[in-house]
Amino acid sequence: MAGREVKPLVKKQQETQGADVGPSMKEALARLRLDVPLLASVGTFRDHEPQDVGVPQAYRRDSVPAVPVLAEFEAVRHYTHLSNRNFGIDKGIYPLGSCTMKYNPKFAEVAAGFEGVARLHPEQDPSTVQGALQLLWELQESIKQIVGMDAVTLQPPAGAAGEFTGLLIARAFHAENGEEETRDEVLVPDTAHGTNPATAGMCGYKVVEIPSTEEGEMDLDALKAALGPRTAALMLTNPSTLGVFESNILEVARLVHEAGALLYYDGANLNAILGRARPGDMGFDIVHLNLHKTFATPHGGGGPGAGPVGVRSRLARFLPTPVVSREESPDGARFDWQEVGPDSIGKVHGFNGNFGMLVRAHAYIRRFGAQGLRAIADTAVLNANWMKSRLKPYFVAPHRELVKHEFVLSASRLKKERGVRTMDIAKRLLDHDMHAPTVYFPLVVDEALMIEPTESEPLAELERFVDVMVKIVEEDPQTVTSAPHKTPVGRLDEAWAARKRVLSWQEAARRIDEVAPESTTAE
Amino acid sequence: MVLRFGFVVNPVAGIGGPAGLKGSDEVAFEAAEKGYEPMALQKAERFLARLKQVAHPGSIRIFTAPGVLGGQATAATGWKTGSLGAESFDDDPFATDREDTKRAAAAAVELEMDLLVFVGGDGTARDVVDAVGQDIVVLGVPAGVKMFSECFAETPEAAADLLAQIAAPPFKEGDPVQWLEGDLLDLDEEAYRQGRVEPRSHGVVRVPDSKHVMAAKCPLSAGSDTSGVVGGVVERMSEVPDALFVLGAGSTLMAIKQALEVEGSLIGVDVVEKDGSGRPWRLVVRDVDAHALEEQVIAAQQAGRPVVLVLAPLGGQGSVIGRGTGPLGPRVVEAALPENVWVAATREKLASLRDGVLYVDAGDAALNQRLPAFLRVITGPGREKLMRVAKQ
Repeated sequence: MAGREVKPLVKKQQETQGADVGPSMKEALARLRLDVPLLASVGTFRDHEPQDVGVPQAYRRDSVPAVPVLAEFEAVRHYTHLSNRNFGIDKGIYPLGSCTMKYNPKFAEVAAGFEGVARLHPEQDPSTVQGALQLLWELQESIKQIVGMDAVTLQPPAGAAGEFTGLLIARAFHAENGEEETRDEVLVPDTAHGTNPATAGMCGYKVVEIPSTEEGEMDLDALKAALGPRTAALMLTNPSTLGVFESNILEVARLVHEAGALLYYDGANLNAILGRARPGDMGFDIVHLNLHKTFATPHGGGGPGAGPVGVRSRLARFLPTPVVSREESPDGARFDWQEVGPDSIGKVHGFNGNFGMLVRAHAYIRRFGAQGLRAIADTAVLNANWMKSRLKPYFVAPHRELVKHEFVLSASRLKKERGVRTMDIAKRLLDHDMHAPTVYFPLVVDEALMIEPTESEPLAELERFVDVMVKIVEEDPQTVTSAPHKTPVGRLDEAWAARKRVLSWQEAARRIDEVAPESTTAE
Repeated sequence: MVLRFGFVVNPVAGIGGPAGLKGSDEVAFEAAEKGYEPMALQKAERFLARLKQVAHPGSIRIFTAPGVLGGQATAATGWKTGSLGAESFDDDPFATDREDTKRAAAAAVELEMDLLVFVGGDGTARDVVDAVGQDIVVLGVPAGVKMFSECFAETPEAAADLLAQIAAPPFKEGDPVQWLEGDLLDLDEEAYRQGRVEPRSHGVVRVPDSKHVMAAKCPLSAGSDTSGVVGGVVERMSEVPDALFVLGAGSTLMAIKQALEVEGSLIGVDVVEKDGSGRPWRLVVRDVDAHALEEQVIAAQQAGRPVVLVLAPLGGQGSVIGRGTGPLGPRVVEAALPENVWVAATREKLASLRDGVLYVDAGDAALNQRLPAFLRVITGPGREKLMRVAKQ
């Protein structure tokens, strides 16, 4: 691919003029490869005489569009090649802490591809999409049960959008009490995901961080000192990003409510407690979920996501509108869109969110059922603790001994004694076809490695990961600090990449010529 | 394509630490008598050995003083070096003194080196900066007992990695090494030996810009970006326009003073207020002493104006108000209680505090009792972090 020139298509204007083929047109045609199946299959020059469809002269193209002209097989090879260079959950273990990179089961993909699911239009009359509405209603109900909330919206199109929705609901609640102006602070623990303070800031709140204790729990004294008439909400994930369950959660909820604030649950770590504990029972008022984490829909990467939000009954009237309703009738149940009412915060996304993701999550929940979901949490927690106990001798393991679904190690000793940093370990893992854990997060742990094996991986793969980690710790530091050695691209100069960003393909093409003229034909 | 740097080792650095002497400035003989070996040469060799591994061949040229001041370590690790001076020194580390460090450092400036690398601690850093001021970018290989100054890499290996990174393409000969300002700090060693922590600022040192380092984390505490903190403090200051602001010392506060466009002092305390005319902020007193500050504070209180202290914790150690904070007496601290003691620091700086707490000593036991158990540290615009206060 790398050596191919970008070949322009024929000028549209001349094409529509039929027989009048000038010298530049001939030249363009000569460069075109008319025998290629891709062009033929999409119906271009070869099969069809260009026709004048009456596009006014002023709107016709003067210059040829700068897009590559390729045969179908070339395009397929190109993308297959790229996919082989990439690393994904379908290729190997991906223990990215706090991201719950579990395997995306193919039965959920099949369900999302069903004709009656994939070919719907959101503007269709409810009477023609009863099955889809029933599915959404059932998903709402499942989520209510799983997190212990009274009402659910499926609208937010991502986890961060769910957070935003949740805090808008909190703000609407305080506004109704005449406290929109005075309650201007949101509290977060210092181990919080970056999206928590970002969400609070986006909603116009000041962010106040609460420190953690040595055990890894939130410092209750600090929480008491921070809570007051200015507090709008405390955003918390439980278990925390350290994999530590907040054992004082009932006391936390009491303190927060006593201060007139709301308790917000970030569902990022729900996988650890599925079927074992419910945010609603802990005293949370608002919950957002990441379906791509707990319920195994594909992770975004800019694609569609889903971040449903559940609330207690006293907050239900603030939910985004509409929700799906169910009504009994003599002919059986009827499903419909139901407006939330005048107190609703409005819409946070078109229609009812990303339907395809909701279908996958519904399929996942139905496939496993209550017992299965609980087994998922148990296995994920067992895997994390097994792995932690195996790796602990080689690293510094701060915080509590037993964790939930993920654990944090520090490579600080390794850095001090052998000059090997967490980033070096992350790079070296790639040489073993393994993705790195989350690194340098949370910030409160020096040289942090945050590992979440999830329930997806078989014991053999967990063992292989541990063996590779131990090997890296013990091997020649020089090999580790210069890794990766087996990837298509070696260690990148990150400082250079950060300072001289290349953000368009035209610029990239120019730079490739500039930096290494011979490399364009080398591959 | 060659980076040229001067290299000097303080051969007795660090000897006082294991001996429990909290610094080595005047006690090297005492430590040696107790049977302790200087660790600095070993640290120097670790640094040089790593540099040999990670630097592109031919991208670095070292100029060093002879013997224990550098030549011995470079020879042991197989480096060919240029010379920082022809003086010959005894091989006995205890025969050298700080004048040797200074002479070697000055020679590096004389010879127009790109950078100066020293092996030592805070005391060595002070000697180096005494000799070179801000004429050259300085990097410390940590080998001392105290390393409060913002010029040290985390380990000898990290220092080598940083240098290799600076010398790597696109670096070209003649390119100035990008730098940041760091605080040069040191404790009064005599006081420290008696159990009192009183770090003082001794000026500014130019350190390599940490953007040369791998993105995730920088080995220099000075590397963290304080612009968010500065923005957060200025935003909050604007919310109390009638207040009298007492701005502390150090590089974080200096950045705030610069943002306010006042000619503040780096190592002293300044008094600032909102100005109605022309510039938004006015410097009331620069580098104020204790008496003058007290007068200003009393006058402001009599006029019914709030008094706000804006301070930064000492990197690594966490002292916000202490006996080393100069003119901030009990009367001044009391005027700012309970809500107007503001602390400013990046989250990275807070995360690197070795005890995880802020130390405050208002100089009066009764007043210390009235200090809050937690202080809200401003970490950015609309962002604060609660930190536990340890009262001394």
